[in-house]
Amino acid sequence: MNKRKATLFYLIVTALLLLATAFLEAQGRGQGQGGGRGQAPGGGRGQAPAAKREPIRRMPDGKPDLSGFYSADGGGANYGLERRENRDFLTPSTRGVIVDPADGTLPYQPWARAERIDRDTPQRGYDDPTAHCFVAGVPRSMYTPSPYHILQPPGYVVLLFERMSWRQIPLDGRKHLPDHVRLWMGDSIGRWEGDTLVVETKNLNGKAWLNEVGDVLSHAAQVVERFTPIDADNITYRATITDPVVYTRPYTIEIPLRRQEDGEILEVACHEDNGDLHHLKDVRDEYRAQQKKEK
Amino acid sequence: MTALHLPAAFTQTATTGKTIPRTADGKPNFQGIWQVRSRASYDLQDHVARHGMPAGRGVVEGNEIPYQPWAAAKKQENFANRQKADPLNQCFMPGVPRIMYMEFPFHIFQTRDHIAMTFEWSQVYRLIYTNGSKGPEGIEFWMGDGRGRWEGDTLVVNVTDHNSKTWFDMAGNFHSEALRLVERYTMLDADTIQYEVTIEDPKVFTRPWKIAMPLHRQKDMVRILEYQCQAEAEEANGDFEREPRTWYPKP
Repeated sequence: MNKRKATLFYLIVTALLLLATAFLEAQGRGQGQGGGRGQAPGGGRGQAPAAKREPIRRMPDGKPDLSGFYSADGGGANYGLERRENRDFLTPSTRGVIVDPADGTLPYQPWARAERIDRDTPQRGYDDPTAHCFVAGVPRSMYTPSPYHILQPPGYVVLLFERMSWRQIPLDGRKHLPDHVRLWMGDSIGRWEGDTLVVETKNLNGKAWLNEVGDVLSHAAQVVERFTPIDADNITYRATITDPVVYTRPYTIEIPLRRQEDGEILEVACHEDNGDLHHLKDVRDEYRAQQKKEK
Repeated sequence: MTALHLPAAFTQTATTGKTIPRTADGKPNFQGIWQVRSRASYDLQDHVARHGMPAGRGVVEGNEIPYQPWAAAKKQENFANRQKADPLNQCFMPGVPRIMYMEFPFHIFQTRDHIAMTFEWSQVYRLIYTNGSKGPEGIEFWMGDGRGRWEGDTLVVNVTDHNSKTWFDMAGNFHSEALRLVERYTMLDADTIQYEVTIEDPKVFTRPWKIAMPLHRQKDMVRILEYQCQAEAEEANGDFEREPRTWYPKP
């Protein structure tokens, strides 16, 4: 198989994988909309029978108890924050998770919109950090199609992601890390506003993408997340992103999170099992070689 | 084995009578940031210095790891090839117990039903269930499956379902997927946890053996940070390309 044929082969395999993913996502969404409680999207492990809504669970101190095994009903946010329907053969439809601005469009600066469009080409697939199994960052970790466990030990909210990364959110009113300390997952600090957990994240290193199509986030981003429990098993998750390097104004996404009773997180050895990355690199290198030839 | 070979940690008794922090339900409270000061991550046994490896006192009871003959030979081979063969050099998950004594801090979080350990090294974590639940059957984990229970003031964790791909240290000490661990965490005082592990693997060793070392509370640390092993490796070798418009610091 010559290189061009190999590339074509990899593209077809990738297309089939994406179609399968889109199909599974659609299945998950269908469950999420129609099934009510217990029909966990994404996981399907140990599903509980449907039941009526239970009130918010509470800690001994009266604060909401958010702990448990959760899956996000991401509506394809991992493939685009804006709404897109059957854009092409390769990319799943996305529901659109932007609730502000009202038109659901990301308020990109022109350079960033151009960058986003460029990232969504086959030769840029290799550049998505999660293709390398690097951590998804904030807020992307919250809507990748992979479950997570929320723990609520004294003074903290801790999130453990199945794809091997974590967030720890102290609730003691401390200050953020010094500006020169930058992290893939940023530095998160939380507080309660009534029954809503408000989490402010700074100190991001700007290396993470917001999804596979490459929605842009920079080191200047500040993310304010709001976890609002609406019953014992459902949280409305909102994240407001302010990033003056990339956007013209702040915007807000909204995604439902659903708890699954008795769900247990497993272990996804992404990097250890990452056999596909070189295909994406081949596509990129082939493209670059072609560009060089045309010059 | 003679008493002379016992590391200092073994001579201490499990309960010292000192005041230790406790949770609302009366259990010892391990929550906080911890790290070893031992040289166990280089070599579990007494060892001389080599390039990139300081000399160190061992943490193995009796200083002897009871390998079967074939396994002793395999260990020597691992040691000779350690620069290439150590799974950590590929940024693979270190497994248990190795993650516990690497020279990176970790944060323990404690609820009634769980002990969570979040590690600075590549954002690995362990979630240990203390609610009496059983683990899934027939799945192998890089970080094992940990189920804990309280024996008085000691947290006892059975760790099973390991894969055969992790090592115990940089010196090539190894195990198979038949590895079973019993970890014992006992607070000696508010800032010290005695960490002991009984190691059993009938495919590799002739009998169970034991390591022990103290974990020290990192009192001057506000939070643990990150060392994303693979991301740093790929940034350094150019496989992950730099992006001056979004990155901090600018490349």
